Parts: sequence; structure tokens; C-alpha cells
Amino acid sequence: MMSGRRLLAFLVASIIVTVAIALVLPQVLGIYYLHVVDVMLINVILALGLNMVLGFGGQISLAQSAFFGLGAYAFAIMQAHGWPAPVAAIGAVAFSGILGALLGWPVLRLRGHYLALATLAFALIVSELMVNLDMLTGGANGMMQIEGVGLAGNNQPMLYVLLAVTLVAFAGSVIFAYSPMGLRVRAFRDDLIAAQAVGLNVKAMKIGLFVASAVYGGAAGVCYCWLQGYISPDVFGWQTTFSYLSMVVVGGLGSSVGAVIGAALYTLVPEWLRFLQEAYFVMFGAVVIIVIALVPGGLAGLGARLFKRLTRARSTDARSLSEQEA
Amino acid sequence: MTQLLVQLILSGLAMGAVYALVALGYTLIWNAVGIVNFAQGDVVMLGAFVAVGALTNMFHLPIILGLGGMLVLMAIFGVAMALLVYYPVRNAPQLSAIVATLGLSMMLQNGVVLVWGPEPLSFTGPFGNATVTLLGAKIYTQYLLILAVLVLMMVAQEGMFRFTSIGRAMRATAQDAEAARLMGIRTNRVIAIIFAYAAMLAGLAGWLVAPLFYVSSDMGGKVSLDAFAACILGGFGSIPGALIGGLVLGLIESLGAFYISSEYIDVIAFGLLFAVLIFRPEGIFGEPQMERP
Amino acid sequence: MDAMLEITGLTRRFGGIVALHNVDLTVREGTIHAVIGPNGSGKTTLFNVISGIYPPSDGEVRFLGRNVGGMSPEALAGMGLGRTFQNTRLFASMSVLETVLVVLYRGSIALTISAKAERRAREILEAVGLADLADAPVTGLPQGQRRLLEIAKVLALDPKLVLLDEPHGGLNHTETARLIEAVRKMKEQGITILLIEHEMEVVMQLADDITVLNFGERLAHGSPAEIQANEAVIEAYLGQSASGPQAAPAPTAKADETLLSVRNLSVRYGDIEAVRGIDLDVKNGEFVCLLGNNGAGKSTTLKALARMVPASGEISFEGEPLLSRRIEALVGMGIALVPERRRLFGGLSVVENLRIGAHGRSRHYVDEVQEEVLDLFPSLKRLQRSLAFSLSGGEQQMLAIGRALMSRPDLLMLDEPSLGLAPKLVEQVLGKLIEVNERGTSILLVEQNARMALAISHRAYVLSSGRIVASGSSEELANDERVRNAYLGIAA
Repeated sequence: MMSGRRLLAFLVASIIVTVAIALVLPQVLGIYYLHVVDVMLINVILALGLNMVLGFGGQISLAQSAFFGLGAYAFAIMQAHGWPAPVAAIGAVAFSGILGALLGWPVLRLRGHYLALATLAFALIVSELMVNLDMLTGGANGMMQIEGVGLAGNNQPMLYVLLAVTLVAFAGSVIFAYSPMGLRVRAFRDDLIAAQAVGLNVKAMKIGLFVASAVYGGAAGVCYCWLQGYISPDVFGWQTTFSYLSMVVVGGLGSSVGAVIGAALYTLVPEWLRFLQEAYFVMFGAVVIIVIALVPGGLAGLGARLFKRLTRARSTDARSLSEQEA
Repeated sequence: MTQLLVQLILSGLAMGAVYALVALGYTLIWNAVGIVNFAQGDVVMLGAFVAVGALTNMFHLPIILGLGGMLVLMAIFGVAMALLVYYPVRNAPQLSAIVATLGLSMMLQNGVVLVWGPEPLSFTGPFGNATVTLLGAKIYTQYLLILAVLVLMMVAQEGMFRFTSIGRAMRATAQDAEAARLMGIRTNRVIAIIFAYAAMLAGLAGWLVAPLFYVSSDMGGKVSLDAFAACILGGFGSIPGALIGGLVLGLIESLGAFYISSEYIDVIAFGLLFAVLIFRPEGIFGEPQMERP
Repeated sequence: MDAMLEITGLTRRFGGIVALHNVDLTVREGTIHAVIGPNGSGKTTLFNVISGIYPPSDGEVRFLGRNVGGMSPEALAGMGLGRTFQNTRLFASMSVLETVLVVLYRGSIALTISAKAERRAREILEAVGLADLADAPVTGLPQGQRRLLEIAKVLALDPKLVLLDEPHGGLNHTETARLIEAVRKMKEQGITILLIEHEMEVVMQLADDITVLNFGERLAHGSPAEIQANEAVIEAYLGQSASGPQAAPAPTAKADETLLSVRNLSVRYGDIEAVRGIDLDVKNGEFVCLLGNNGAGKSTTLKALARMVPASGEISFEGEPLLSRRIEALVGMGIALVPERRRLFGGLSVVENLRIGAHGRSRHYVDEVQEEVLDLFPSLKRLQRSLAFSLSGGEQQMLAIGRALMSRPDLLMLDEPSLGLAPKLVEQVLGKLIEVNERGTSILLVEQNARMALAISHRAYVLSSGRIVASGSSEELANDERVRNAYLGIAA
């Protein structure tokens, strides 16, 4: 259990790092790579959201791409109907959150591959509707000329905006993880039956986790609108959902820092290794397998173990999954 | 009008047969080791690439040898899957196995692009665009080939399961691996064989479907999903369920696309699947889960 | 005193199996009420129904005067009903302290842990003797401390009624004493306790009232003294005597040759020592049985011999060391096991099950032995094509034995073949075993039904708490007090 003081120190450190990035990066990176970082930050938000339900909660959700898309389209549509940007943003995130609840409730009793398939079906249905409801969504061409916050294509100011949003998302995830709520979710993940036996409201928790992942996904969608100024359905296709899962796994299930690491590895590195892209992702897939089989806690877990040796702090990483079967 | 109906039914059955072959692979692996191979559709794709991209296009083998060679290579790949993907997560909870197979999926999809480039391949197959006339309707000969292969496969498989020692060992291992070991069955080998067989089924499905569409790195995803849906519809873990589920799904998609809406057919089909998962997850032939601690 | 918990006519079915039938049970406030019974009698199912994991199929469960049948476990916990689990269910990613904290914070929306809550948590840990380990991770805790934490977890609920599910399993004497202390303290605090336990010593020390279950029904209830003297209870544990004359098989001429030799066998599950220092022999042609109560270690011993669990010590069979071999190698060496609960291949036919027993042999061999086995079990002959799962319990047991015999083993091992069978069927099955032994197969039988087993075997070993406490010829042991004591938990 992290003490309040340590938590505060960690958050302050995160703020400092964020500010440092904001100051340094625009000096060293050109517009193109700034854009890559912008996209990476959006992926961080998505990964943080998925980590809520998958990492903290241990529930396999393949719906993250749907929430991403729902947030983006909801914002674009709302703004196109004259809603001011802040209102549309909140509205879009809320809309995504509500759909998270609508997904979480019927799948309460589902686990494992049944849950995976149900959430995947959801993702597919959403991505199909994005194309089919073309009166609303612009169909396969998507929506153009989204005003957003007037920064579309302006990668540097967008960097500041995205860093701010990501920081809030990150802080939220960390505070949640180390709060009593986070403790309860760990109980829920580690042993559902024991959690019920000590009076935890497991139904509310499961729905709540889906809502949380949906809120994060929706926020990421809104940010994407702001960054790009246009959206099209293929960005939110159901096949993309697996990439977010791989980010969370490689970074470390149940770790907020892990979500950041995973997103960075997935988004940044391939840009540097352009010509090796496919080979990189073959390796990435292999790392997913190796991590899930052999390295509990992913890369963040490895880092945390080093850190623990130095400072004897506790982390919320999913323990060796095979140990969970106690 | 009946001509159209015949065409729709046969194309639906043909696609359904492909789903059934893939679904069979899911079912066998699930029964044997209790994991769902989310990469099964990508194994289908791999089979198509190997048969078409390598054996036919690169080495210019006649089609039949291309098929045979591919099946052998897929069997080897299946054993590799058992060793490198299943074995490390065999005692871990379900989440791990699902994630591991998703990792494999990522490797396969990118791997084929690495080897064969990003352009889809085309494959005329044994019949190209040839058609036959059945009940007054023109249908692709390939459809008939697919259906014939499915029937042959099922008969051969039943024969293997019923009349051979290895088939009996496979069934026993699937039902109770430890008890099978008590009988002297080397279950590790049997499991590897089951994976090899499932990979061959997937490869065969890929080879059958390749002439109908392009062979591309993303062809596996939808097939995976559809075959998975077929398993759920028919009852996860049931072999007749996989068969019937596949054919029924193929028919629903084909008839639904024409009579209801081709735009919304996927939404409808997967909405249906969602409903089945919520209200009757055991599907048509499955046993309702009666948990005993 | 009011009834804290009142159960009337409780029945629970799983498909066709009736796990509990018409059970009545009343737990008086502030008392410790123990539920005991042989393996498979329904005790854990009873707990699972009371604690909300399953709804009753029939009958009523009243807690604090309210009908709670069908309520969820979390709702019951909210009412003050706590339970512990037989195989401790802890939260693997937490520390000891966090385990208690999460229960204290189960309904709170607070963002941080208050100092007050932390103090309270440490108090609870103090009460069970875990205060020093507050920051230790849960994984890696030895069994004794896991059990104490399991209790701390339930105490944090501030419960009125606690269901303790076999809290003493696998503990040594000191740990058991500490646990008994903790339970006594709970009673002093006014908590009512319903306890499942098979360690009779513990039950007799702690319980105010006892209910005995057998085959899912209530067999007897009363005070400890009454139960210990109750003939029906003794019979349920030791088994009924055989009804007809059961001649023990005559020892064969080769009785001197040792077939199976076991020295200093130990099996550990994690850090629990399930069996220790087991020495036993089976000579060629002998019929030997392993007896003992629930959890005594009989099945574990057999599983170790069948290499289904890791073990240490020395085992040799026909002169060959056995420990280094794998399960698959057994039939080749001449050992066949009829596992606990039979483990037939339900979807395969009777004949297919038999033929699998001779996997890898020539067609000719398999056909020949199949004939022999079907002659031995005529009831199976007419059921040849039937699928195994459709057979009755007795027929399934015969099939399991037949399947094991297909490899013409020198040693046939059986793990509780009488489990779940009515007494008449048990006689039939055990009678068959005499026939098998007379034909030359040595037998090592693990049985809960001591009386019948002793009536048909040459020699026996009696286990208690993982050690052999008595051994000798079956005739002598049949009249030995030590056997009865081992089963009914009266200290030797």
C-alpha cells in the first residue's frame, strides 16, 4: 500500500516529467515526430483505459476501439450540430461512458473467452454502424473539417493539450489504483468468490470498470478529433482493438506506468524503425507471448522489481497469474 | 426466383463449410487443452499464403502438390504452436492463453507481410471462375469443391476417431488428460498431434477460400470471428455443434445479406451472437453450465 | 437463546445428483456448532448454500429470522454472515494488512486509507497473531498463517455468524492450538460459529452441538458425548459390516516376494505436508488395504505411487525405482490405478473404455483380454455399446476396474471405489476384487469403509493425519481399538 506521502511525491514527479517533456520536445523534434508523440499520447490514454478493466479488473475486454470511435464520432457530430467544444467534449465522453455501462451490464455473468467474444462483437457492431449510419457519420469517408479546439494539424500546441489530458488520465489511474477503490478492484480480480464473501459489490465494480475504460476511450476519441480535424471509420475498426491489448500486456497488466511504456513501445519505436516495421511487430507479438507466459507484470513489473529492491515499495501489478490460482 | 435462392443457399453453405472447418479446429483444441485459439483465423491465412504464395507462386508447384505441401507444413506449424504458445501458458488462467494466442495473431499477420509483401495475392485455384449449373442456377464449382471437401473431412475424421487407436487416444485425452496418462497414453504427444491436425484444418480452409477472395494478411480476422461465432451458436466444445453452427451462420449471412440488408448483415449476425452469449451461452448443443466447486 | 441460523428441509440438487436432502439444522446464538460427516456427505455444499453461492433447490434457510435462500454472498456478508474457505481464498496481489483493509473499506468511497482504519486493521491482525506480518505479501505465507489470515479476513466483517470451513487442514500441533485459541476468542466476543471439521480432536474440544451428515442427509445431532457414542455415526465412518460371510482370500504361495516397497514416502502440497514417513509393502499375490479418515492421506499416498503428485522417499516396484518415472510409464511397468471417482471416458463406449486400458498393445492382445474382462464382469457384456456416462454408479465402478485390468497388471491400485455407492453395490464391487486377487493380481486398496475392507484383505495399514498409526493383518486390526480411534478422532 503506497503511503499518501509517497503517492504525492510520485504525482509531483509525474508533473515535473510532463512539464519537462513539454519544454524540451518541441525543441528537438520536427513537426512530423511531434505528431507521432501526439498520437502516442492518445494511445496512452486508450491503454490506461483498457488497463482499468483488463489490468486492474482482470476482465478481458476487446471493446476499447469502439469507445475510441464512439467518443470521436460523438464529439464531431455534436459539434457539427452547433454544440460548443467544451460541451461537446463532455457530452461525447459521457456518451461513451453510458455505452460502457450498457455493455458492462448484460455481460456481467460472462468471463474468459465468452466475455472476449461479446466485447469483440460489440466492437464490430459499433465499427459497422460508423459506416452504415452514413447520414450521421459520413459513412466510409468519415467526417472532415472538424473544428475541435481550433488546433487541428497544429502539432505543438496540441502537444501541450494532450500532455495535460494524459497527465490527468495518468494521475486518475494512479490515484485510483492506490485508493481503497483500487484495493477492492484487486480483490475482485484476485479472487471473485472471496471478494463476494467479504461483502464487495462485484456487480457494481464490473460495470464501473467498463464505464471507466469507456470514459478513457471516449476522451481519447475526443482528443483525436482535436488533433486530426478529420475522422474515418478505419481508425476505429474492430481489428485495431488488439493493438491496445498488446500495449497493456507488454507494458504490464495492472500498471499505469506500464500502459505508458506499452503505448510508447507500440507507437514510437516503429516510427524510428520504419523500414523494419513488420519485423518489429512480429517481435512485439512474440513479446506479448513471452510476457504473458513468463514475465508477470510486463516491462513495468521488471522495472518495479528493480525499484522495489532499492526502496521496498509495494505495487499494484497483477502478480504472477499462476499464483492467483491459490 | 428459385435460381437465386439456390445460389444464395449454396454460397451460404460454402462459406459456412469454411467456417465449420475453422470452427472444428477451435473445438478440437478447446476439448483437448481448454484454451481458445484466437489466432485460428490467422492460421487459415497462413495456410493460404503458404499454399499460394510459396508453393504455387514461388516454387510453381502444381496445385495438388501445393496443397499437400502446405498441409505438411501446417502440421509442423501446429506442433510449433503447441510447444511455443500453448505449453508455456498451459497452467495459467484463461486470460493468459487468450492473450498468448492474440500475440501469435499479431506475429502471423505481420509475418506474412514481411515474407510476401503487403500486396494481396490472387489465386485461381483448381477451378478458377468455372461454374456449374445446378437446379437451373449457376454456381461456382469451387463451392461444390468446398462442400465436398467438408463432407469427406467429416467422414474421414469420424473414421479416425472411431476406428483408430490414435483417434481413441485423442478423444480420451480431450475428455480427461490425466486419466489418459494413467492408461499409458503419452498425452503431450497427443496434444501436439491435435494442434497439428487443427492447423491442417485451418490451412485447408484457407486453401479452399483463397480463390473466392484475395489472399491478404487481414483475411484471417473476420474468418476467426465468424468461426468463433459458429462455435458459440452450435455449443462450444461440440463437434456437431461446430459443423451445424458454421453452416447455419453461413446461411444466415448469405440469405440475410440478400433478403434483409447487405449493409447491416454483420450488425445483425453479431447482434444475434451477442444475444446468444447473454441468454444462452451454451448454444444449441452445449450443456448449460452447472458449476460445482 | 434465539436461533441465529435455522435451516429446515434444505435440499440441493445438481442436475440428477442430490447433494443435500431434507436437512434440518439449528445453530443457537453464541455457540459453536460443528458439522461432520464422511467424505462426500455434503458438508461443503451445505456451506455453499448457506453462504449464498447456490440457492436452495428446496427448503428454507433463515438467518437472523429472515429467509435468506437465494440471496447473493455479498448481501449475506452485509447482513453479518461471514465464511472462510477450506482451500484458503486470499488475494494474491495484496499484503496481509491490505487483506484486512479491503474488507474494512468494502463499502466506502473514501480516497485514502485513514489512520484509524489502519489501527483497526492491525488490532484484528493482533487478535489472530499476525501483527508482525502486516506488511508481508500474501503469496509465500505458510499454510498456518494463511489460515489465520483467512480468519482475520472474516473478523473484519464484524460478523454475527461465521462459517468456518475446515479451518485446521494441514496444520501442525502448535498451529492447530493457535487456531483453536482464535476460534475460542471469537466465541468469547459473541460470534456464533458453524464449523465444518474432520479432525475429531478439534471438534470434540470446541463444539457445543454437532450435526452429522451422511450421503447428504442428517444422520444424527446432539452433544459431543452423544455423538461419540452413537452407533449409527460410528458405522457411517467405519462402514457397515459385510452382510454375508466374506472369506478373506487365501494367501498364495509367492507371498514372500515383495512386489511394491515404499520407504519414507512424503508428499507436500505447497508447504502442507500431506503425508510423511510412509513405509509400506505389498507382497506378490497379497490384498492390502490403506485405511483412515478424511484427509488422513490415503488418497495422497496412492496418487504419489501413481506419480500424479510429486513426492520424496523411495519407492520400488518389482525391483525398479518408481519415483523417477512418469504417469504414462505405469501400465508398462505392470501397475494400474482405478482413480478416485473412477474417471471414465464418459463420451466413449464401454468397449472403447476397455480397449483404451490396453492402449498400445496388439489387436490380438486387446481382443483376448477384452474377452477375459467381459467374462469377469457379465453386466458389462450386455452394455458394450453404451456410452460410459450413461451407466449406473455400480456399473461404472465395474467398468473402471475392468479398464484397469486390461493391461494385465501385476498390481491393481484402487482409490476409494465405494465412494458414492450404496452398501449392496459396495459389497458386489469388493466381492469382485476378491475374485481378481484370487486370479493372481496383487491389490492395494484405499478405502474409507474400514470394516468391509478389513473383511476381504490380507493386511492393512491405518493412516491418520498423514502418518501410519497402525498396521498388521486385517484379522487383528478388525478388532483393534486404534482403528476406531483413528476414524473418530479420539487421541491415541
